[in-house]
Amino acid sequence: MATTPCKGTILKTTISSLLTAVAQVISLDAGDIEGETYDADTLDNSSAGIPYKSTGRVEGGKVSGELFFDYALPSHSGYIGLIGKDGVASAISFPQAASPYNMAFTGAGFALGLAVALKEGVKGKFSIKVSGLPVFASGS
Amino acid sequence: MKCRLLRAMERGCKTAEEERAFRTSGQFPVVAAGTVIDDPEAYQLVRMGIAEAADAECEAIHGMTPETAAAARKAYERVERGIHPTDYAAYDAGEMIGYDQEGNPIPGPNYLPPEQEEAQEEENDTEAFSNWRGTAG
Repeated sequence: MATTPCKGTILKTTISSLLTAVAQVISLDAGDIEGETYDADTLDNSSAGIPYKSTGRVEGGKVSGELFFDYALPSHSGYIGLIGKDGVASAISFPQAASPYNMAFTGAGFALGLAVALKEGVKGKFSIKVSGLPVFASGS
Repeated sequence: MKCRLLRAMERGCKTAEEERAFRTSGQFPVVAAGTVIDDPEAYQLVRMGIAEAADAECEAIHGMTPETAAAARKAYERVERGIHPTDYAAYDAGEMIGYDQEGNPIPGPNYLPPEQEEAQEEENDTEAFSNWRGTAG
């Protein structure tokens, strides 16, 4: 079984027209990519199951995660500068995979919240709405 | 505001052709080292350790000394290698340089196998104790 270790994964967002790596990321969640469906049940359906059909549209979901936040880091202050913007080229890279791959996506709806807890470092909880569809492609 | 790239950097696909190429190769378009970037946020690239100032406006705003610029370059290299924050100290100490395909650290030039590390610690402790005795005596 081929698995990709999580350590080594890199989140990149666009700052000053370049894809730059975001520092101090602890975890990433690139979930909720989902084909949109509608309830296609009919009165004469003899089955108890509810059938669904695809509308042909796909929700790109969002990329979210946590990082140790430090405003002095340019990639963090740069991230704050993206809040309110759309059409931002972004990516998650998996260079540590046996066959390295990238997930490229266009970011919109950048969000950030800070979490301060007594026994923790200050953490930033971020999320980026995926505009359109993410593209997965193999290559370092 | 202008800066000059110190290293080759990726950028997002801007055209359908670039996106097709990305889908085939998995490679983002690359901006070569030495390229001058003219952008209102160019100073951020200098602060990241990716670029150097290429005009007076950028020079005036980036606020980096040669020492902090060198530290920023090293820090960006660390981030670009995907080093997890829990391993920053080990990376900075040269004990690891990245992760293998199992997610284990790849030993760096200063890596010591566990037995050697233990022996080294013992040696350090003995030396510290001798020094302390010397001072105390």
